[in-house]
Amino acid sequence: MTPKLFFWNKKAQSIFDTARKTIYWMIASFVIAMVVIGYVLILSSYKERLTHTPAEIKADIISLRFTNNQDCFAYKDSITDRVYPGTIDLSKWTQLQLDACYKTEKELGYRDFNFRLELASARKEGLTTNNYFNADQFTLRRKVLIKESSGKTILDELIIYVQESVPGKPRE
Amino acid sequence: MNKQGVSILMVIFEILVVIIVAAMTAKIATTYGQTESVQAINIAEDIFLMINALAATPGDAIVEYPSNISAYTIVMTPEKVAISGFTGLAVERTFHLPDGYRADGVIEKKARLCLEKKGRNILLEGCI
Repeated sequence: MTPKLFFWNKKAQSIFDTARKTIYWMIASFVIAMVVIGYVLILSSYKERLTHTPAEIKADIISLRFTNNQDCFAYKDSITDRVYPGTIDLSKWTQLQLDACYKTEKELGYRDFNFRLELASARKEGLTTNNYFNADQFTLRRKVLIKESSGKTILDELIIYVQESVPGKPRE
Repeated sequence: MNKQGVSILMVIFEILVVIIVAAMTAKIATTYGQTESVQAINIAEDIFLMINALAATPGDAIVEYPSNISAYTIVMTPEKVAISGFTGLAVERTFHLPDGYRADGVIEKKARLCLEKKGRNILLEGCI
């Protein structure tokens, strides 16, 4: 009797060991995979933090051209040829002028910054860049002077609605 | 089945798994730890902002990049700027200049970088 039980215990013990280790390695391999994935995510988010530039700063610098560059909306004295940064020539406030000033790529430009420009006093209608789809992420405001065709200079506010990026181009 | 043989196999398997996981994490850390790619990204972002600032400047201007960039090759075209270091991988940034504006220049292994705006041309060159 005793030798039979001893043989049975050995076999059962071996089967139990194998099953135990199989279950252990199933759980351990899942945990190890999660740890490695977590490690990769921590490193990549650290690298992203090191190289991140706030979108507001980028948009602010890109949009400087609207009020400071004579090839955009900035007023240029026709006699002295002096450009007045921060002063908008109302006669230049057209969609054509904005397209010449800032235009993104036709196909993939929705991934870049796009803008909608409005004057707070609503003297003229708003203007939009070519891949603007009303998906504003934030707004910039700038105090500007407006030079009207009559020669009058008036204080106003330029409101810049910023669309940083959209995931895909909306269907037309 | 030889129980001792099976347990030796299990030990070998476990040691192999430890070595593989350690090697994977070391490789991942080395790849991310290459400071060159972080610096190249920061230089690309800075040059992108500098170009946009120059596009907004009326008249002529010159600006110097305040870091040593001798480890990098920088190529600027009218649509983008590309920075590559010793690994050969390039970091690119796209910009959009007003109509009639041109941007170009190549700089290689020079310590000081200057961006100069002359009229409607933006030039990338080494500083004098």
